[in-house]
Amino acid sequence: MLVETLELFFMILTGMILAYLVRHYVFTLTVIKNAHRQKGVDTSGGVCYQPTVSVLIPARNEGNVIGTILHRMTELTYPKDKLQVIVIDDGSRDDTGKVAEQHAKAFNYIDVLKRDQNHGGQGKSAALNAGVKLAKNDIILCFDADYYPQRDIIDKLVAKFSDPKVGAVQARITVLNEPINMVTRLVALERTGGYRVDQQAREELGLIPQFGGTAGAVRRSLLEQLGGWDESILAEDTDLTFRVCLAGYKVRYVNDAECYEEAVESWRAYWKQRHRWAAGHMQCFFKHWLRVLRSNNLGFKEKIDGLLLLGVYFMPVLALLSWIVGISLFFLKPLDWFRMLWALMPVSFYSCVGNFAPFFEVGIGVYLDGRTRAQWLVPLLVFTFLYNIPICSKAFADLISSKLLGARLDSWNKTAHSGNGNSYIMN
Amino acid sequence: MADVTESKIKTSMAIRSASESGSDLMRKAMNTSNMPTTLRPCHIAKNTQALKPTLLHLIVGLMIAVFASYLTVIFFGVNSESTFMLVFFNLLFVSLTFSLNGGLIEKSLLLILGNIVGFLWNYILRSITFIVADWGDSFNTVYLILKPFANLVWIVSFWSISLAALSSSSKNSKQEASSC
Repeated sequence: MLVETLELFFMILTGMILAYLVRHYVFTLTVIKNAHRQKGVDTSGGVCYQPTVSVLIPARNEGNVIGTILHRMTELTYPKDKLQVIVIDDGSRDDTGKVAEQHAKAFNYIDVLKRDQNHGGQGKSAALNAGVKLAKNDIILCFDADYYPQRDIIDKLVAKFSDPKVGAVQARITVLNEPINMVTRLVALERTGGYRVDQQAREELGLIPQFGGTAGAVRRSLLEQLGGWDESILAEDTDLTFRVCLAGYKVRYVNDAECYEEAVESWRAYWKQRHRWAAGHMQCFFKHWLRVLRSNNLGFKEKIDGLLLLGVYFMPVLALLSWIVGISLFFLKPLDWFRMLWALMPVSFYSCVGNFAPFFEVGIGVYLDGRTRAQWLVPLLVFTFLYNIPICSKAFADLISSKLLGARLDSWNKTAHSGNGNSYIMN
Repeated sequence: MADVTESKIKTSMAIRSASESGSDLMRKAMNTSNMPTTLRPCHIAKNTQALKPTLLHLIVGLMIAVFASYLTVIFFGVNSESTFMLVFFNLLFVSLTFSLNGGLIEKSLLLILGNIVGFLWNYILRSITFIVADWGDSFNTVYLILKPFANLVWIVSFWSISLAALSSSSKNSKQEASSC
């Protein structure tokens, strides 16, 4: 009886892993198939859709980087009379507020929203909700303080809003400080697989590209209709993605619109960031999975992809479970079919990084970006997977305990930014 | 959020000290003393690969993969895990890399080389199995459990090397074409 139960459990687990592998294989094939077609938004002259845009930059103790993004805001090609930039100084203890104020004095389209120590620090969602109240324009665009967008990123993103069914648009994130160390290099690989292949394929297949919460735009009317960002969810971006889709709107992805981020530079910072992402994603799974299944606004393939997207951070935990169950079965009753499924295990171990980006997906993403040397690091992704097992397991345990105890998960457990990425910005 | 008091303070903070000019503060904020006025990232890849449809490459690759798998399995008698890994490698390699830019001969050679490496890897693992058979059950068991991982290591490594080679040759041909 025990063996049969374990066999069934092992088959279910490997079936789920196989489903993700097939999904990402299809994604990779799709991107390769469409790569010869140069898709993108033409922003070079001609008629462009240019609604008014409010840019929100939530910042808490971002003195090292806030000046760089604000300077960049002054260089954007988007017409300044249609632009409003709002810096939300969320109870910073450093000179974030001062730097923002300096820019606000110099440029009339930059505003600063000051949240004091008592009211600030309640999380990014709370800061964004506060910022939205000040926003006057049709489209809300969010940037984290450590981000550095292309000059014409707004032109590229808002062009998609000419379709009234589009609710949110996401840009591509690229790592700015990649050469610093091995952590930043591996994060850059994850990002490449996640955006260049994963997001791009979901865009091309008409699935659900993920609104990343930063370097992304959303319709203000829709955001207000949805009640703003959910402050109880750590992954407010994933939550908004699904609320937009469930409301009958589309999320689009623009690969040409690039924004550069300062990636975490240590394994400790990686842990904090991924723990927050994993816990937030798992919150979203429990909040949305049934709504996704029942939704009349989502097609069959969107529902399947949506569920897989929601469950992606469970995969390292499930891969570990299947590994343990597999070893047990190995001792109890190794059958022929078991050996075949067992051979799948290591593939999944090379897959559970980033947004479940298997090694072949990352490799193709790096190739399509025209990069050669980065390919040599792909085998090292197994270390990020091994690291993701305790991260996601801890996130799951924390989520369960918070549900049982009725406590709230830490909300502004934010990543500290050193400003090292600034040295990679030059003429 | 209703109790949160927020005020828009463009004027409430005195941000310029007597000894620090506005431009100094701005530079400090930029975290560098000589930040150029115009900023542009320098290392982001702009040379996105545009692919050409290569149906012929796919067909030839598939034929080589089938032939190589047949040879390896029938004549050299590899075990089930290794067979699975070889088929997995061939499927991935043909369906994904044969659609990329690069010469057919180059890709075919890489595929054949991959199968040779896979076979040799299998041969080495079998030799190890033979050796560790006398080392006791516990060591043998650990080895058997880890074997699928050992089987995959060559695929991932070969995959990354192959894509690096294809990417490099693709860049070289581009440069040659542009210099002509």
